[in-house]
Amino acid sequence: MSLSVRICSALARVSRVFVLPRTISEFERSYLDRINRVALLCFYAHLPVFVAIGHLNGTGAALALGLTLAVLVGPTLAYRYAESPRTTSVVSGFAAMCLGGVLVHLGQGPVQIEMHFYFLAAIAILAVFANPAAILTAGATVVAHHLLLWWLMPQSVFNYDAPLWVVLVHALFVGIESVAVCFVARTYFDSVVGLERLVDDRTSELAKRNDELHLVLDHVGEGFVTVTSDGVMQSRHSAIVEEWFGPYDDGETFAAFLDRIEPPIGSWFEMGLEQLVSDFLPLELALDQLPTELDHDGRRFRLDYSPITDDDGKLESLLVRIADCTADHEMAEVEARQRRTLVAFERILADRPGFLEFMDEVRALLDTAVEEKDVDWVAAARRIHTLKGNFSAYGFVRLARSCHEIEDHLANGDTDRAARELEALVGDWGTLEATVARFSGALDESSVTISGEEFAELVLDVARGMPRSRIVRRLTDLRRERTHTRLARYVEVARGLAQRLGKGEIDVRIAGEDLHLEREVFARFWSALVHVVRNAVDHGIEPVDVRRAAGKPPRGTIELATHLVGDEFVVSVRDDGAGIDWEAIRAKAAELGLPSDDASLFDAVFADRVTSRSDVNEVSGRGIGLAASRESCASLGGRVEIRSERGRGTEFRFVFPARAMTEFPLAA
Amino acid sequence: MSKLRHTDRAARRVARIALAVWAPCVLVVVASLAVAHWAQLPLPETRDGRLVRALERTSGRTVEGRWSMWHVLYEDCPCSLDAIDDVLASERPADLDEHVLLVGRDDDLAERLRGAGIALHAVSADDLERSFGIVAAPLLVVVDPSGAVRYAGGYRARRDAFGVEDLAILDRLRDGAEVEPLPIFGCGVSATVQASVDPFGLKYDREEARR
Repeated sequence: MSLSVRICSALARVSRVFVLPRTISEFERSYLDRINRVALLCFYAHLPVFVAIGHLNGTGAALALGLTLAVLVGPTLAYRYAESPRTTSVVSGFAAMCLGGVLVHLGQGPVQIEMHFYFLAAIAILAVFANPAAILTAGATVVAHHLLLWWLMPQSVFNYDAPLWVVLVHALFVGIESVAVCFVARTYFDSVVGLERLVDDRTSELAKRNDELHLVLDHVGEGFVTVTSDGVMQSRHSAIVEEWFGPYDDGETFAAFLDRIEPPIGSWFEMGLEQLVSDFLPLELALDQLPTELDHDGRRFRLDYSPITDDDGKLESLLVRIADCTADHEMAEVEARQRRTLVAFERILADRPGFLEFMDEVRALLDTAVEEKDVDWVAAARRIHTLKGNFSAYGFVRLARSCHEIEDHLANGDTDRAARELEALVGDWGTLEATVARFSGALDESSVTISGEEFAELVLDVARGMPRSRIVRRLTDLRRERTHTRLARYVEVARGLAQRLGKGEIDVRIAGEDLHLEREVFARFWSALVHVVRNAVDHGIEPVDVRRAAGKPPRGTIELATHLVGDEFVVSVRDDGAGIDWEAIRAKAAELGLPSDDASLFDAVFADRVTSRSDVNEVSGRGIGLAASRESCASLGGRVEIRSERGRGTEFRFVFPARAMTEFPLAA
Repeated sequence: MSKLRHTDRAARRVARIALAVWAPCVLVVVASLAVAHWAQLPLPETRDGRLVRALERTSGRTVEGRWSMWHVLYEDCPCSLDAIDDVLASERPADLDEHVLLVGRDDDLAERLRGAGIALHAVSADDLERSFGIVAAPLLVVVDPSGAVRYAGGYRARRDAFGVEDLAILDRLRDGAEVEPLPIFGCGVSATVQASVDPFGLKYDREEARR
């Protein structure tokens, strides 16, 4: 920085001390009006005093009167006519020095020097005007007076041959006092008289910064809304919020605003905010209860919350950050579709017939659910629950979650959202079907896949002259499904589920006879059976520590078996778990208004919404799965038997007439 | 309403002009008053013998053989009255021949001077300047027994000093010392001096002084 710039900067700083801001606040105007009035009264009070001094000191009362009145003309005119009270203060500064001059004249004699203290006192008193200009004017008046004296009669300034330095010493003292009093006056102005203006300036500055901040917030692509603890939206929020969701009404609650966007979300938010304010739950947990997603106008928005608390940790307001996550959501959907496709191909490679059948079952269940929902949501819910189990069993986690959300909406009585979710689920599944069909035109279920070993064995049998009827039966069996192959599909389901539920490794055994079944006949039953397997894992097998405590092997066991017993075909699922808690079933049945006597307990197990669980998760717990399995069993003319012993385990036996299997049930 | 506003504006304009005139006028007037106080007043010429002759004429006898002291006062000058008050308040030497030259008339002072044994001589301002060569007061003149003016100057070393130094000066002169004249803190008596230190005529009634 150059010297000239530094000098200019220093001068600017100094000038800021001496020059007040142009604007005069109401407080300053009121104060100066009052102080100018007091000053004028004080000036007029000089009149009798000066007349007395003039008379007593022999300098003349009449002269004292005339001179004093002449001086008073200025402040009187200024007080009466000056537009700015600061002008009056400046005139008062000038007049005070003139009165000092009159006093020095009137008080001539031995105390004439002492009369000069009037100037020093007057300059100090001028600080009450809180205006350095008044003091500077007084100082300038003294300087002008001496210059005038010097011009009129030089020896009157340098009297008695006083050297220059003596005169400068006099001037120095007046100068020092004037500068000091200027500083005091300016400080007085900044701290008291001009404080209102200062506050206004700071307020304006803050408002300007707020505007700048708001400008930034309005262009960051995210919406910010502050909600008071009583739920009211504060007026300052990002412009994009109204751009996305439309205008809000002054004093409107954020819940009402949300309800206009997506009705249940507002009520959800309102309840969450009440929990947050009531301080009943830990803060983080209460925040988790607030809605985090919002769908509007084909876009998805994410809601994040930052609580603003006082020193005591009590919630004062809630900052809501709203972000348009449509792109992220779509990307996640794409990734989910890719994962679904990958899962589908893995399944095809592992068990093509089973997967094709699974796809058919899902399609049938979805179509049925869509039809049923318009008539009976309870029936549709059963399909959806079955679908959830199937999706989960086949590793379609996202689809299983969608089913769970539909069930949540139904549990909340929100059938509209449930219908929308179901529609979305149908769309997702359709996309997967199209993808699979596009990439695998050879998945025609009418085709028959045969292993090389089986094909060689068949050729050998033909070559050996196997009877024609047996060859026909062998060929027919190629289209049928082996029961052990089907049961094997549940092994992985059961083990994976046990891991997810924290029950460790379990043994899943396939037992009994490997029978052939007509694929289409039992498709629905096999689909529902997955719930029985899942229930065995979730409800039956105890956690490892419980098993150890009960003296059981830590690894639970589930046995899946198919048997031909006489003319009956039996599918059983047996676990070595805790057994059915009949009292819990009884309590739940009673709670739901169902018969709960001993004779009715068996039926209660299969009733919708009857479960011994107190919580509900994606795996099981709604009491719908068993009902679906019983229903599909009954549709084939079968029945269900339950053998359960507390602490020892449970066996579900599905008993069908053998003729239901096929016209020619054959042992493998 | 509009008329009132117009009148108000006009009054303010007039007030501004009045203030603009008032400020320099007051400043000049006050400065002129100060000049009258702080100006160095001229001392009389003593070397040409005019002063001694005028004193002898006024006293009517020769002053040789005794020390004599002359107090030149101006009735309208508070400093002159202060000085003679201080003089009369002190014990006067018996061997001192004292006179007062008063410009103006003051019966009370005359009575007090008589009581103190000090001769009073009235003189006009013009005569004081013309005959004595004195233009400012209060002035102290000391003449030694040989008739020589040994001292012609002020009474105080400083304007704000209390008391007068007339007797101290006399003692030093009697001891044979030379005493530098002190400045005159007081008033102009001659029209010329009054005009220079009181240009606006605020302090002196010049016509009265001439009589």
